[in-house]
Amino acid sequence: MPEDSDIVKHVLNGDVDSFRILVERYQRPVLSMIRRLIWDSHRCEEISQDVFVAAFQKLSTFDPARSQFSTWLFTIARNMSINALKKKLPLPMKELPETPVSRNPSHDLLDKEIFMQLDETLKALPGKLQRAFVLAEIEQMPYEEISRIEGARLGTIKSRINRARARIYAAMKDMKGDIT
Amino acid sequence: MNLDEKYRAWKERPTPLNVPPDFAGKVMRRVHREAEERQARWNWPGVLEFFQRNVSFQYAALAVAATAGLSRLWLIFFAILQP
Repeated sequence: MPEDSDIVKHVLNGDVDSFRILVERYQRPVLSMIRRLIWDSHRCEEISQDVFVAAFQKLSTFDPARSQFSTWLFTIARNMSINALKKKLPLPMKELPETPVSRNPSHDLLDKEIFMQLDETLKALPGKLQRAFVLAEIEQMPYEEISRIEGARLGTIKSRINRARARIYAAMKDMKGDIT
Repeated sequence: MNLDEKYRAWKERPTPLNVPPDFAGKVMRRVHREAEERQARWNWPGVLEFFQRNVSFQYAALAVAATAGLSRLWLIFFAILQP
């Protein structure tokens, strides 16, 4: 399997079709990340396409000595998500499919309700906390990579994740129901 | 379920992600259009980008600039010293 940096060289040397390998390699993680940051599956596809086109346009600025291609691409995705959120279009919250692990229909309903409230809590977090939390806890990215994507120190990223987690826990404690 | 279990269940709930059909195809059509447009236009950022990436071209430009600069210096020397 060719390395990302080799494919980048091919594309820069005029083999535009090689870019498809990068698109197919990263389409799923990019879509997943943007969907979690934008909370809108309709705009998610459009923004993800824009991310890849922007990556192609800026490909000559990618420096393999400074970062991995994935980190560079996720940084573009992060910036475009922030720009998309600034446009302040209505954000539908019930976009993510809810398939809680549960035992019976009444628990399903309760879980669904709780999960929706937690999604709301996550969505209400400041952007920096929300992104750090989504990338670390949901997308399972290493902290070092998040630190490079966000352009912040490792300690700052850890602090943001902890603060986000604390707020989610606080929201769970505040919820009424059978959370015991 | 305690708080930790509830937290984990929420965080790790399966959220199936379907990559839209022909996503890569759509991106590649836009990328090809972009590449064609880039080839068609002669823009200064493109020239600068070429200059930035092509080291032998940078040496050639430096040599031309140095030769031009030195030839002017010779003119000044000749004017002052009048050999």
